[in-house]
This record gives sequence, structure tokens and C-alpha cells, in this order.
Amino acid sequence: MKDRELKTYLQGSLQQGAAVRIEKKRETVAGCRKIMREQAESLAEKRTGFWQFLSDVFRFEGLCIFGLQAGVLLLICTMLGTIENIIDNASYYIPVFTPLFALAGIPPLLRSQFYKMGEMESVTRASNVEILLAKLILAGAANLIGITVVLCLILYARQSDGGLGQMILYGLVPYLVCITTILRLIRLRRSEKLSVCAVATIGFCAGWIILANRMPQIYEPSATGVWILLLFVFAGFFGREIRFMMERKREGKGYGIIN
Amino acid sequence: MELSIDRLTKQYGRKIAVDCVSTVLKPGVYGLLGENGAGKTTLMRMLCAILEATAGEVFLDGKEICALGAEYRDLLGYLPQDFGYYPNYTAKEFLLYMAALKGIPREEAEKRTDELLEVVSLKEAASKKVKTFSGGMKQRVGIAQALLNQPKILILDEPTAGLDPKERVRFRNLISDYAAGRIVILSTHIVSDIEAIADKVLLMRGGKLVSQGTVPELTKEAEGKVWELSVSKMEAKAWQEKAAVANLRHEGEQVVLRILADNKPAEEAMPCETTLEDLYLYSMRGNK
Repeated sequence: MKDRELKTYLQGSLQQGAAVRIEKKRETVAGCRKIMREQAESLAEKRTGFWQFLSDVFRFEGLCIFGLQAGVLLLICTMLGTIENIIDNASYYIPVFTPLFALAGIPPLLRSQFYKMGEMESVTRASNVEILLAKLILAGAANLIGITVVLCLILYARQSDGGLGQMILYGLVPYLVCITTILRLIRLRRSEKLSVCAVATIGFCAGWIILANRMPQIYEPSATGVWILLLFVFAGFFGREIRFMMERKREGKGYGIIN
Repeated sequence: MELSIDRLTKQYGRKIAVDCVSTVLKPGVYGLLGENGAGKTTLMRMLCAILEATAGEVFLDGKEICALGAEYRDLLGYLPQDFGYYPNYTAKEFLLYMAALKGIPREEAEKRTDELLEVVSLKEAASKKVKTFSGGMKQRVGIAQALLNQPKILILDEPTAGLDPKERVRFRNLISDYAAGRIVILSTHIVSDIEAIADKVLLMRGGKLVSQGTVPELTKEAEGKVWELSVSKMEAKAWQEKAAVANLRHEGEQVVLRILADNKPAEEAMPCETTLEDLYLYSMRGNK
């Protein structure tokens, strides 16, 4: 019944001059109050949206995420300034630098696991998927800033922007390999995720150094096609992991094993 | 509001942690009782959708809880048995962080955090780091975080562990006040806590729900199975070997034994009033 119809109906009833039965009136008032109370209780409380949530995660985790990335950036800048011929052979070193940024992203990503907060956090509205996603966005943004700064410094030191595209590829491919491996380890490993992720990332750094020494030809301009192919392959793996994460979120399930 | 558990099962390899548990929970306080490894924590974790069930489902008002997702978690407050904390957070920061994850807007979060710190008697310690807290204080911070979003379903795993007697009484009163119109599920080994606040008790053994009902209903089950027997100190030892002795107290040279047995254990044994603890111990006899 619409409000207007209800009003007309009530006015009509009152105009008929029917005696108001006090007991019934009291019952009606009590009934209405009960309905209103139930409605008030069932009305969902105001909750923050994803962007507000992201800003809250930044408020609490931002210092840790960006602090660690700044530390890695400082370390790389020191290396760039001190190691001989590093600028001339930057192509060999960039694939070693970018996993270091991913490495610095591991502690914030696995912080809740390390401090046994995983269970408590995954029962919140955000769930562990959304928390991980928010941290991943922030860590990813910090990583991109760091990688960009390193590339700019190398270009500035070289006084030339030749080979920029290749350098981006040399940076992004190892980064994607690391971040996808970290996500898979978070998803599949029950415990000691932090140490396994760290060992895997350091292993990748070492792997790229060995590769640069043993097969310098992969850094020749003629091998750019292979790098582009690798970029697509690992971007695909990374995308698949993110899609899986979103599916778990949609299904109301957690990502990884929550200890 | 109705939380229906339908043939919920969790299996780890060959071990069945929770075995086909079915029950319907309506607003009220439910005490989950069972020995270590009975499946209480696993059941609670499945009710919170932290663990995926091997079989069976949980429904809230007819809707599967995983399908409800954030809508369900919004109604949920949970205190795990063994929880951690970020050591560099103060009590207030910790609660504000949890409030942010629960999607509570900042202003409201500030207000509720202050209120809850007062409720759990931690207002004075609000600006102290959680890592400096005693076990009981940490437990109270945990209870406060579970209440932040004013949950309609509150699941507390061993909430009174580490609390001193005064705090336990305060907690019991808090839960009793809070429970109106809400589903509160709590597990504890302290039977007196459950006796004091639970409207209904769920007794678990070996992953199965072996018994459920109100405290008087359940104690009735053990009626006529609790006996008191006064024996000498020498005899007391022998009785402890051959019978399930729930309690013994010394009265001069004699020892008064509280024996759980289906039949009168001795001519001189006298039947006595049963308690929930008697029922608990009686139903766990087979596991010895």
C-alpha cells in the first residue's frame, strides 16, 4: 500500500467517528515499535568502500611497505654509484635489481602470517584476499616507483635514452617471475612462507647473475623478441593468479592456507 | 536469525576432525564443550568460513555462508584460540586497524574503540604497546576486537583463557548482556563458565556432536550416575584405578570420592546431585 493510500484510508476511518479502542491502540503502537526496532537492527551499518579501505591499509601498512622499498632503492643507488662499469653493463644488472624490489614487498605481504594475525584478519569484512590485494597494489605501486627511479638514474648516468625499451623488459620480466612465484607460494605453502619466498627471490637474483655471465647473448638486441615473449608468458601467469584471487573473493573463500 | 549447520565434515587425510555435525543455532549463548582434539576449533573455523568443509554446509537464514561473503563476515565477530598481534601497535591502534579491516568508518571506529577499551578495562593502557601486555590483557584486546562491528554472530574460542577470576566474571556478564538477539558460540574447558552463561550446551567428542541441550536437560542425562563414597586413604587409591573418579576430598582420615558409574559402585555409595562437569566427565569416560 502506498503512503498516500494509507493516509486516505486512516483519515477515512477517523472521519467515521469510530471510538478509538485504547487497548487496541496501545497494541498497535507496540507492534509498530517492534517492527521499527527490527527494521533498524536489520539495516546494514555504513561500511567503507574499497578505496577508503585501501587508504586505511596505506595508513597502517604504508610506512612499512614504502620504507622497505626506499631501503632497496637506496641500496641500488649506492651500488650504481660505487660498482665499476655497472652503468655500462646496466642490462646485466637490471634483472638482478628488480627482484630486490619484489623481495622488499614480501614482509608486508606475509606480515599477518608471521604475527599469527591471519585467522583474525580473514574473518573481517575485508577477508584475507582483499587485504592481500590492497597490500599488493601498494607494494606494486612502490615497486614501480622504485624501478622507474633506477631506470631514470641509469639513463641519466648514460646521458642517452637508447635501449630504454629493452631495459624495461629486463626489469619487468624478472619482476613478474618473482611476484608470481611469491603469490603461488603464499597460496600453496602451509608454513614458513616468508623464508621460502625470500629464498626463492634471492635465488632468482643469483640466477639472473649466472645467466648474464654464462649467456650474455640473451641481452643482445636480437634477443628482444624472446624477452617480449617471456613478458607475455609471465604476465599471463601473474594475471591468472590475480584472477584466481578474485574468484576466491567472489566465492567468499580465503586465498592460501590460513594458519 | 538462524544458523543451520548441515552435515558439516572436515577431514585431514585419514583423520576426521569434524564428523557430520548438524544442528540449528538461534539467538542465544551456546557453549561448546569437549576435550582437546574433539573438533571444537575446527568447527568454529568452518563456521567462520576460514576453513573449507570437506562435506556439508552452513546456512544463515537459508543462504550458504560462503555465498554471502562479506555480508556474512560483516555479521561475524571472532576470537581465535591462539592469536597474535602486531607488536608495534598500541591497544588503540590495534583496534583501529581491526576496525579498518571490518570496514568501520574512521569516526565511528574511534568512538567504538574508546567504548570497548573501557568495557574491557583497558582504557588506561590504550596507548601502551600490545607487546607489553600480560596474557589476560592481550585476551581482553582480542575480545574487544571481536565486538568492534557489533556482530550478530559472535564466535569465541577459549575466550576466558588467561583471564583472572574477576575478569572472567566481568566477561561472563558482558557476554550475557551482549547476547540478546544474537548468536554467541563459545568454547572453553572451564565448565563453570559455560554453566553460568550458556543457554544451550553442545558436547563434542571425536569430531561428533554427542549431546546438546540446556544445562538442566544435560545434567538430567547424568542423573543417577554420580555417587559419593567415603573410603580410607588406602582404598581411595584402588578406587581411582577401577572407577571414574570425578573428584576427591579429604575429610579427616577418610576420603570422599565422587564416582561416575551407571550402577551403584558400592553398598555405602550415596547418589548425589549432578553438575555439568559430571556429565562432561561421564561422557568422556570412554576416551580414557
